Amino acid sequence: MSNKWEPYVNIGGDKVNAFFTDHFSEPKRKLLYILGKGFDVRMNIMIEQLIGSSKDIDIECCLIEYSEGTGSPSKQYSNFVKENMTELEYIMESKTLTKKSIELFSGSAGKRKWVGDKTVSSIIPEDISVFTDIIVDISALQRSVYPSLIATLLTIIEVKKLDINFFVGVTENARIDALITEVGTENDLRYLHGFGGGIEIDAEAEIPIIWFPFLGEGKNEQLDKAQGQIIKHSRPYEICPVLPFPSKDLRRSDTLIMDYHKWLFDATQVSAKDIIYVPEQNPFEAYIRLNSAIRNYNKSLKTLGGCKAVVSNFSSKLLSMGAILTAFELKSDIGVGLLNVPSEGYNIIDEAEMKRLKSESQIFLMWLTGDPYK
Amino acid sequence: MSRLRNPFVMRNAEKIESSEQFISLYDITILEAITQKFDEGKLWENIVYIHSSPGAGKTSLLRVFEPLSLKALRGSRSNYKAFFSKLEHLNVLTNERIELLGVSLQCTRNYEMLEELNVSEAHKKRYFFSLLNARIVIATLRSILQLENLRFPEGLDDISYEYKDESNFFLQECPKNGKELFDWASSIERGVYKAIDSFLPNMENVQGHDELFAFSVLQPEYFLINGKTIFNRVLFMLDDTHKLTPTQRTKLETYIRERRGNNSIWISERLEALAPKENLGTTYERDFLEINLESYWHEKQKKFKDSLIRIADSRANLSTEGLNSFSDYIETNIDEDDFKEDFIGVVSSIQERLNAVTKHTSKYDEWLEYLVQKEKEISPLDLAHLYKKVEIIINRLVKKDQLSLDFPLTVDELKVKLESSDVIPAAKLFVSHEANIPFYHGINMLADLSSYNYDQFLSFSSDLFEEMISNKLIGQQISLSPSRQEKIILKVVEKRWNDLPKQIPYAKEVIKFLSEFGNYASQQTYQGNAPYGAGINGFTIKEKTSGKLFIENKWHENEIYETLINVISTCISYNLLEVRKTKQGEKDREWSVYYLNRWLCVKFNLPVSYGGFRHKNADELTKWILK
Repeated sequence: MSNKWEPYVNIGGDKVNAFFTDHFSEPKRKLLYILGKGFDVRMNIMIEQLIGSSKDIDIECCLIEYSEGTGSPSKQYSNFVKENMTELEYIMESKTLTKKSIELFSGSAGKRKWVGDKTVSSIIPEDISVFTDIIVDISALQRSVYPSLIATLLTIIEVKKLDINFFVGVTENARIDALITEVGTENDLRYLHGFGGGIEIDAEAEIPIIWFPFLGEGKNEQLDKAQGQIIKHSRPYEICPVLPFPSKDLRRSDTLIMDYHKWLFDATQVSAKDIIYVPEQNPFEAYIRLNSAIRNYNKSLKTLGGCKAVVSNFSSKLLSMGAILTAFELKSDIGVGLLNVPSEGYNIIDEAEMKRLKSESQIFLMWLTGDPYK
Repeated sequence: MSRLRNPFVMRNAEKIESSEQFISLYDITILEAITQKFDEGKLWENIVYIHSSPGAGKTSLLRVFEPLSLKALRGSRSNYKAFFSKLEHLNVLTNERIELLGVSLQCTRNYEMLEELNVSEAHKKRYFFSLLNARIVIATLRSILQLENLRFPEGLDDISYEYKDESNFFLQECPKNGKELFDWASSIERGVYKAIDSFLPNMENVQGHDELFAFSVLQPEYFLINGKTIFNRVLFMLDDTHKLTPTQRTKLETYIRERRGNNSIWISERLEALAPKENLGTTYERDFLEINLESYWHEKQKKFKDSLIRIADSRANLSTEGLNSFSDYIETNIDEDDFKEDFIGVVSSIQERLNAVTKHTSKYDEWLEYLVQKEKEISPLDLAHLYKKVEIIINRLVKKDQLSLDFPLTVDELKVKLESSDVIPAAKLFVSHEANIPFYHGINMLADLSSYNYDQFLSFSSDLFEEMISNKLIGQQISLSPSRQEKIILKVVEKRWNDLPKQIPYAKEVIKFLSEFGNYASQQTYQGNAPYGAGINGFTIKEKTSGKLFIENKWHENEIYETLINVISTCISYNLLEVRKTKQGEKDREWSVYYLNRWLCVKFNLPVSYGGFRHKNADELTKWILK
């Protein structure tokens, strides 16, 4: 069975600049650029490069401001946010910059619940057909927020048959990722808005579930919570951990196996043959392998009614796109749910180091709809 | 039955896959709480709330009554005679057949999504009821298939459904068999689910219901296989109802309380199900039957400990590493000879302090002579305890009776005071602290550290068992000395503490609050006169009025205490504070005491017994957070 995004267009590293110059030099282009407001030093790298390479670009920039609630640990980094905002306003100069706020949590203490995945759709303009291009820059967007935003935009483009070049961009730097830790992870989880994949349909509870957690550093807490949520349905299931290989650090997947040894081989008894390797810097390849694995399981388990799959991303934002694309494509076809563990905020382990590493970041642009797919 | 290297890593009931394994690992003591309600004639045809914090055994308890567990039990009744006869007594099963159909329904969070829809309140209620109706029907049919060993979905055709739909609940032709009933329910469920789990939600073709009629249309007499009824009673078990929104919980509760009929309904939920203000209030009462698992165990501490030991030994028995016991390898007593010098050191220090305190009075001369006399008769450990007890008693008297006359006190008077219940534990704690000898060790301590929570017990035991396995592997003595146990326990506690920021909301404030309270409790506990006996590790939130009278403070209704509400509420939800009712103190008054979870007592070097607390008001507690 063919994949929606195969062949694909993935633009990375040095080629991004040239692409921006070339693509946006065409007349009549009108771009909607969506990015998140945050403390991450990578927040403005892509937009700076875009404006730098296409000075006359017709752009509307939508900045998502979100409240992580009172007492969020991220509040201590307001100086970083301020710096980023000053920089963004300077980059945008006379161009349109609209700020839209969303709530990440609702409810009061003790009964607070995560709603960021649902509220984020409210920032989408009522009529997006006025744009020829849309870029969602996920570099400073919360991990549990952008999947639903991207999927809603994909759905609108698909349902309304709009001719829009839709890109998702991310400024990647694994070393900066390792310096930012999530704090206050949610206890009561639910599948991301729109990404339920029919996992919680009781009438289909007999169908086996295969879980594909993308492993990243220091996510024991999240793994445990996500597993608890899947097990709630007490169905037979198999776990296929997804590890990054090839990767910049060639030993990264070995180190991850050592870090998660207890969880992998004691607590969950994962079989080594079930581990899936995906290239660290190519989300489309990750998506293709994941699609293939899920379809194979579905075929093999046909006598049991097929299977459903849950994908959880505890790895980089770049790889998370592989998970999103798979879940989006197979959501109704087979039933693939996206289960993340949202957090209250973040902690930076070494602020100076984070700033120093900024220049080593690399931009990736994933082209999802439009010209190449016609 | 699958075996694991370290079976303690396998936690809650949901993770234990086979019913046979579940039955073999389940400890039946908690069933006494159920039996008690049965003997009072209140168990069946009633609404029973089962409350506890996460990990205390709610879901496991419900799983006992599910068909697969009952079948596994009945199939091995010779191996589990006590278990079988307990359920036989409850009329759940007999030698001939299983009489009860346990229907378990998880109230997972996608019910909440209904509340977020952009539709009227009336519509939300209709969708909520229709989704519940559909899921209760599906769960019931699934239970019947399990009970009758029928395969899904083929077996649904074998189930006859004889219900006359006079109220027109089904809104179309009434289903005649299991298959039609299932199709009816699943189409409703799929319709609701598809509409709410969409990037562009559309509720146009979704069926809503005015009534929560599932309970009344699923009575035993309506289900037949080969013309015969299959069971005598249905038990509807709604698990994790705290995951419903407060509005949905109210609608559900109101409906089933008003129209419960003769249905047996168990509602299992965490304490956090209560809205924060209810959660924190002390006057909250319910007019229905409640089983609070932690409170039950709190009243039956010995049984709880025995239960934990049985669970631990059963787990060890499942290990592939050939250890058939856990408790046998947890050494209870310290080797006194290893710490002889430390005890002697403590005695010398106390002697110096006593000399300083008593040098201007002859009041305690006989007592001091008694101590000297005892030096040759008892072990260094007992001597250290004795000296510490005497020091505490003298400190108390000095503080109380500074102006009293110097009549010498007799040894007989001392002996009476030495037996005082609040002096003995304090002396033990103080000596351990001063001599730096292991305090947190032994199987009883491990049970205490669980805070009446199975998951917590298994989490500490897991690391201890790991060490036992390693010892065996390298050919060393398997059993763990008290020192080693304490080191492992402290390591687990430290890890839990360091992981808190990752796990909880309001982490900064919560950690500040707990640290301040922990240090305060430690300072209060280790005062020389041990004013709080075995120490303190809890607090109440009250307001001091004129004089010495304390009144219950309505702090949780006051917005200026928002930070404190967030902190206390988080602590309760995440099991960092345990709330216990006490009548200690003023007559006819019941207070809520917020105790530190027992693992936090280890963090702050506090005793793990209950009963020691201080009154604090909301301002004082808030200051701890904002300091």
